Amino acid sequence: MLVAAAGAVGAMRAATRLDRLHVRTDAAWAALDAALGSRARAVMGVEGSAALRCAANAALLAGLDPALPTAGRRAHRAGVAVREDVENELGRVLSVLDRRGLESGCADRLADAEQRAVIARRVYNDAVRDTLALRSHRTVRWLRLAGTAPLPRYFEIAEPMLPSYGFELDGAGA
Amino acid sequence: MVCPYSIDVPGGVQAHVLGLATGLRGLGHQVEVLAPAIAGSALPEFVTSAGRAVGIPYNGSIARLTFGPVALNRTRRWLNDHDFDVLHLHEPTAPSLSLIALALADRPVVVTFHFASARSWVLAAAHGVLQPTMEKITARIAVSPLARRVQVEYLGGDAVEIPNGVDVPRFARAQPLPGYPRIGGTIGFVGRFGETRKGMPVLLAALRALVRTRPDLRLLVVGRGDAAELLRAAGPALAPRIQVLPALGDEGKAAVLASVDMLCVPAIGGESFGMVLSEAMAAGTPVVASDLAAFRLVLDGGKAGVLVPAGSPPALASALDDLLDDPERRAELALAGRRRAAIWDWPVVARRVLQVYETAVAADPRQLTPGPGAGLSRYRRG
Repeated sequence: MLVAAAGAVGAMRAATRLDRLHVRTDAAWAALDAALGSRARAVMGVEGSAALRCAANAALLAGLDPALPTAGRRAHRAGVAVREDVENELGRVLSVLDRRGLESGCADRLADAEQRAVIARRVYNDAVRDTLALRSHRTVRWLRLAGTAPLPRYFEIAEPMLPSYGFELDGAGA
Repeated sequence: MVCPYSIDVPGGVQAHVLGLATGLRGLGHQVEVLAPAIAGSALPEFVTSAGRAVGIPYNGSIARLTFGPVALNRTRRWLNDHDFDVLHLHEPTAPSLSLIALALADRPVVVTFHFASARSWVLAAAHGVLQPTMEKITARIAVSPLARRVQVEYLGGDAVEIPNGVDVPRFARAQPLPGYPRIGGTIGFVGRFGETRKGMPVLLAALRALVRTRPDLRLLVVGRGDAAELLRAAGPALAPRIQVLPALGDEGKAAVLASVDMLCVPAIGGESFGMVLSEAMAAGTPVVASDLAAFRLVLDGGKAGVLVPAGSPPALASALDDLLDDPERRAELALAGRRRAAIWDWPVVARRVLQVYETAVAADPRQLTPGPGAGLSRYRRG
């Protein structure tokens, strides 16, 4: 009896935690989506090559595509892979962009938007990591506490080496 | 902002919290700090005391921490009294105020990890017992790549790297002590000279070789430790050439840095950032430091300071010897150091922390269901 009661309390606590983590992941996705959108818009403000404009356009479109909802659990499924590809391409074009020629206000806005995208991705992936850790837990799997909620997915894009960060990682923490 | 260590005792985390709070206030934001403090000690107006701290051994030294019912109550009241947009907790793995605040938090939480020690027993225990509490963290900041690596490997999370800030103007405008700079050369050492890992024995061995050809060379030491013991270890030839000053706080440290021809940081390990290096660079003092990963990063791979193999007295002696004879190289290093130190200026660092706060607010679940009081234009934070 006591064991059953303890088990029930444990399961309820796990369910509460899981719910909180799903909500946290959704909110983090909304923030990441917004940060990626700002980055693409900041790129549009740069007088740059056609490749840059094209990549930014694709990123903006990927963010606006109604098939890729900008918030909510559905966002973690198929659409994420497409978004990763598009944002990766934008990141690649940005990494070879010569910033010395940019007007300083414009360059600052771009660097700021890039840093925010990096932070938002860390925040989102952290939420995903915590959620996946709990979802792999015995209690959660056996009792199907997650219900029909899809497994969240990491957002994997190559991280830009931001010039204003000042640190070169040389393997120490990369 | 919550600081787990006694705010009235000098320390790296405390200086960071006060520097960041001042930097953010300078940018027009409202900041409140909760920290342990002895009753009656003079605190900045934005600091609330959470009661007395108890010294317990942690992370290889004595940490003054606070916990128990009094701290719990004060933390709860402080959180209720302020409607923070973001709660910023420092070193939440220490069993203290930050952990209490994390357990009570109901809004976006940003945490900063300061230490890069992998031996901490708390880190080992944290993963299991504290996991439900740690899940409340929205965004993480690490002050160095090494602190970030500890975070990734032991706590299962990633962190944004934002370095420690430095009060650049204070170090840049510091005046030398009376009688300095002096002819014959002065080498500086800042820190707890009694701790072997800080490398004082290496420096003493190097100096023994140097004073044979440089009778007027002097070593100026500032920091906590037993001065008599140091002079005994130095031996009769070296002792008269060593001047030891007690730990002086930031003003004193700045004056010492302005007085010496170069700062020597011969640490042999266990360093996660190397604050004193960045402070010396802000002061325009050339740095000769051990080739540790943390120092290499601060000195930009050796472009803004001289790196020598750690624990080797002959290599250190030779590097000091060369630099003592080369005022042009010293001027170059001073300039490179000042330029690089600009990235650690508190207003610059505070702006980067602000980006993290803003991302944490954007990732606040309460934003998904629009409710009252979700103002984005002005932040109050703890």
